[in-house]
Amino acid sequence: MDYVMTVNSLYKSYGNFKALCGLDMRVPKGAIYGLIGKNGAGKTTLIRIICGLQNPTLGCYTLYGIGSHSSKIVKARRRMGAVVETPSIYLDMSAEENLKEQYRVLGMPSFEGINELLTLVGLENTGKKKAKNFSLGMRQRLGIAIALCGSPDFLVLDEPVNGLDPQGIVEIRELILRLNREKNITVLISSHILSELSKLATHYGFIDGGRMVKELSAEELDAACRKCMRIEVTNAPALARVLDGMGIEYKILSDTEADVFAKLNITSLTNALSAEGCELVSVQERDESLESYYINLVGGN
Amino acid sequence: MSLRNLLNADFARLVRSRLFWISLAASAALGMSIELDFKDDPVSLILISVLLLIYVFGVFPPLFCAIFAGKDLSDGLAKNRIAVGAKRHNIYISLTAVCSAALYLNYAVFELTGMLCIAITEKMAPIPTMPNYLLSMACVVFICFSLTAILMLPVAALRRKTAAVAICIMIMPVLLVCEMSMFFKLSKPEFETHIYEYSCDGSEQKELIPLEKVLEMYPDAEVKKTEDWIDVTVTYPNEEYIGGARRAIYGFAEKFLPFGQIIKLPRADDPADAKLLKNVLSLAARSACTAAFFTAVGVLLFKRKNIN
Repeated sequence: MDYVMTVNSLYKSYGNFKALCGLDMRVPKGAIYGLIGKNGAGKTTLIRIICGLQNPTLGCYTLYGIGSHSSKIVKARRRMGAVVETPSIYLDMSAEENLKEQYRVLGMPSFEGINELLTLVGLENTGKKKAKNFSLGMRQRLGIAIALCGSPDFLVLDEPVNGLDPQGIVEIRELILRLNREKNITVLISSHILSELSKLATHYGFIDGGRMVKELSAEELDAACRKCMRIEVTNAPALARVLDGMGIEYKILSDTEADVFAKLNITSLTNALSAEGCELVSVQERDESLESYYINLVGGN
Repeated sequence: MSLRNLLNADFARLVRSRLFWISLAASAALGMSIELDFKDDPVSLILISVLLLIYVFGVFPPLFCAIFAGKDLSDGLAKNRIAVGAKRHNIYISLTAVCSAALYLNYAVFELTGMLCIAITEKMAPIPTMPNYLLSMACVVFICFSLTAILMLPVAALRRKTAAVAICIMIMPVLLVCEMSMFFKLSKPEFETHIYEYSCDGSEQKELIPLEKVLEMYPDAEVKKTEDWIDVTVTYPNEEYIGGARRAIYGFAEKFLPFGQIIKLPRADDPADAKLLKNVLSLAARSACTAAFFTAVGVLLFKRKNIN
């Protein structure tokens, strides 16, 4: 699998405070990677480091296979766009002027494409309105538009929906999905709004205490969060024979436990298990949302 | 991300800067008023010139540098540039260059409007002094660079633009006072001379110390007799003279810091000869060294800065 970005044992300390403690991470190409963590977990610190705004204390990362210590990393960054925390915009300039400024920095030969970018983010009607008069949502969208100048294929968004109203959140979500599907842009998006991420992300990274606790794809997460009944018995092989006979999908977890992915008639199951000389110990319904999965994952740390 | 692209972007932003245009207008107005209002009053003319130079070099520069460059370096708008691969030293050098250009343009407008007024009012023919003006203006390019390089340091180091503005504004009077102080201290001669006057017939007593005592205290004194007076010229070490390492340090600082260089700019009445040219070239070279040194320090500070 191709990775746009890999992070290897990254450490970052601010004095005595350790913001990142040996973090590892891989962002597959074409993915929408959701970086999930509570406040102070290290999400923004990680993003600042990969954007070159800060240097790690130890460790390294790669962008498109180029190491962070290489002088060629600046060329790799040319393929990136980022909105880190608050959007960096000149408040005394209009949306168009802000984009023109970024075009000049990138050395673009002309201002072609600015109108399309403004339309893409929904700021085509702002005219000469100065950015200081924009709403928070408009500023967020302008920040994304600036990040999209130069046609990057890797977009890094640090909590892009913070402070937005519900409509703004929907618009940003749809924009990100469009960019990923239509332009094949890989997106790294950090958030602690799990419900939003669950509608967007194809891959997840759970970060806590400056460490990556778990990385998994959306499919793996679905499987982990799938609704099931956890059955505890005295003899799992016997349970397996019974369930095979019933034609029910299941997954054996241990000598005494299994997850069953169907609705069960408990009486029938009990009778069938009895016939096999097996006792039913307990039945528990499990229905994990991303939220509960996350809490279970980091709650004990 | 080349330096050229960054310069292009920063100059485009300079053109948009309201503060820059207001300052240019103010410099033009001040340049005109100094020639029109004080042409017959040379003392006030000199005083106002000094005050206006303080404005041109001491008020506008810290405000502009801290506000214009502070948006990127202190407020963090440089994020957009760094994230797409612009090198920090290029960002810093570009902003320093643009701020220097703004400062120079203010000075040039101030000087040129003044000269224009002289020419229009025909107070004096400007042509004989033109070479000195041109040399002066060429030298000021480097002085502006060195002044900007110093002012950019707090902007590079601090996270808040307001703090950078405050410190930049404080730097200017401190720099001015220090340099003026060094200049005056260095101008004190090593020896001082005093002439004691005594009447030949003793009828007039001008001095408190008797002649015999003076001659005893200063055996090397030069005694000059006229018809009615005896002049005793004594030379003694000046207590206010600074020497040794301190003099070397003061001299070095006074030569390389910007206000010390402004004082040494060619004046209109200086003869336009090889010595003047040598002086100007020396000024320019020292300013360039100062600019290079402080820019390097600023680049180092900015490279180490954690940007949030």
